[in-house]
Amino acid sequence: MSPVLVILQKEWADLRRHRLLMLSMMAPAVVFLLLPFALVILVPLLDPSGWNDRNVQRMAELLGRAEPDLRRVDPLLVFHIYIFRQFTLMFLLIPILGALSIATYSIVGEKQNRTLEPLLATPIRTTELLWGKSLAAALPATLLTWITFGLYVLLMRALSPAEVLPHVVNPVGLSLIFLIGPLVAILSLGLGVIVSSRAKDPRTAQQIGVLLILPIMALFIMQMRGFFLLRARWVWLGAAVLLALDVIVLKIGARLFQRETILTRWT
Amino acid sequence: MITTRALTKVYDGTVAVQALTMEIRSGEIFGLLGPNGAGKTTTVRMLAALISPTSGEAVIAGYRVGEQDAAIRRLVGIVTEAPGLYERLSARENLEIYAKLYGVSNVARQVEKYLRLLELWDRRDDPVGTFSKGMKQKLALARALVHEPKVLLLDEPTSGLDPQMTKVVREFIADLKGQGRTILLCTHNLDEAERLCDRILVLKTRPIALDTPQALRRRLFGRRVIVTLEAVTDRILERVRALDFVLDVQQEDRRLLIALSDPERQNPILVRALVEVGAAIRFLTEEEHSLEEIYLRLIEEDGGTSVLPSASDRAEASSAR
Repeated sequence: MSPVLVILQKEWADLRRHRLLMLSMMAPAVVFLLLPFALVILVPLLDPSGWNDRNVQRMAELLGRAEPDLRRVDPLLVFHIYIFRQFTLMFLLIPILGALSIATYSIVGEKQNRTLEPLLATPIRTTELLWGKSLAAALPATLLTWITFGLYVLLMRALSPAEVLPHVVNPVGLSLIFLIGPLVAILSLGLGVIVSSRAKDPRTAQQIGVLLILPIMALFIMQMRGFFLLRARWVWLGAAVLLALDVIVLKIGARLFQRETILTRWT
Repeated sequence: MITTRALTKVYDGTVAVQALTMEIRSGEIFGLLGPNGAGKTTTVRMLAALISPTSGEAVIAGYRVGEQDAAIRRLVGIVTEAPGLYERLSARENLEIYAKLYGVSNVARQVEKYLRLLELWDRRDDPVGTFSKGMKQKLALARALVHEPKVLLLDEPTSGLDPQMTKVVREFIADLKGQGRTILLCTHNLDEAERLCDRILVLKTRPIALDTPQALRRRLFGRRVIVTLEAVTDRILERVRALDFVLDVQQEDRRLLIALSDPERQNPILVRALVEVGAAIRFLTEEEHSLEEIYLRLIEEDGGTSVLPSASDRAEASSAR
């Protein structure tokens, strides 16, 4: 069996039994899945006129400019589309938090438990070890994002008017989830490897790594305030930038992930 | 099996190991002793091809460290200072991972063999986190052996274990020697080194002494017999000093400490001479120096501070009593 697969198997066997880590990965996914539905159902009920505030109107205007057929749609439906689109952006936090949690736990945890030395004494190459750990972090985080998005779509079909779905599951939404999602997962785990090389416990590593959330939150707030509307070409441009960042971060991570460096310099 | 020549490791200008030259023969247990920070773990790491030497060379079974590291890792098994086990995984899973990483052909058979040998089979599916320290150490040994390595590097394998478990692990190590494996044993436990090691190297960044414990004992302390008498008189002392083979005589109450070059041959002559001058001999024994005394003498002579009381301290304490 390939050493990468052995590491992958080991990481997942360990992950399955780490309930707290599993919970910390699942919790944001559940929140991001349910919160938009709670908002579209509860806000108009609790505040029958207030929901259609200046921000929503500005967004409706932006949406109408980008997609003229939305100008004729009921404002409440535009509100639904607006909320669901916003939360599609929030879904990017799932791969960031998931990959970061697993990567930092997997590396800092090994440092803490002093399991790296016997592992590095085996014939495994450090690149194979890094690949195994990276896949073990990126795959579940990405899969969780996709599964949550799948449930999101199913719930939207079940609970929202039919006009909403095509405006959310569009090239922008799909690119965010299926293109940007894996790329931010890789960036997150790459950063996790770098931060883990210095951090003494997983929590510290995660706190530093959580800085990655800031750009997503900035986009979320700016779009919520109606400053701009995320377009497909911007998403693709973002993907190109992320790809470049991924390559840089992984190269730095691979450089740090050397037997001697791990054993003698990682503190 | 293991040869090093002027092996040196420097970390950021700090010398961890300096000019270590040694040869560990196939099938022997070789002890590496030294104070904390003496470079024992660094030496083990270099020999396990985990870190590369700054200068000098190390060759293991014909493979050169730094050049043929993958081959070295295949034939070396290592027990690190901490067991380093995956605590959420079972004993069996822990061994399976390593057996697969080492490319063992029949993983299940090897895992079962070592779990049974180390009496962990009944707990094979329990998470390692529920194991006692001794059980974890045994599992770490099983992990080091699962790929049947020719060379074993053991870094403090009995550290922190209770006496009973220490004995179990120690006996297991002695058995491994019987299987023809070459073992490098780093330890602070001098009694353990004495019991297990064929030869020892005292390391304090650079090698201080290398030999069998017996040879070191002779080299440092010579050989002395202790004769306990009913009473020591001047006549007895004069008679002993007059014997040409006696190298030195010291009196401690009713005991004579007599340095000899060949006690086996000279003891009968000494006893006859003592009886001739009317000495009543109660006991005659050879003075024993523990490995601890040898070790501390070596470290002290090298500029270290001995933790044993000096001869003057002992005399002072004795007079105070």
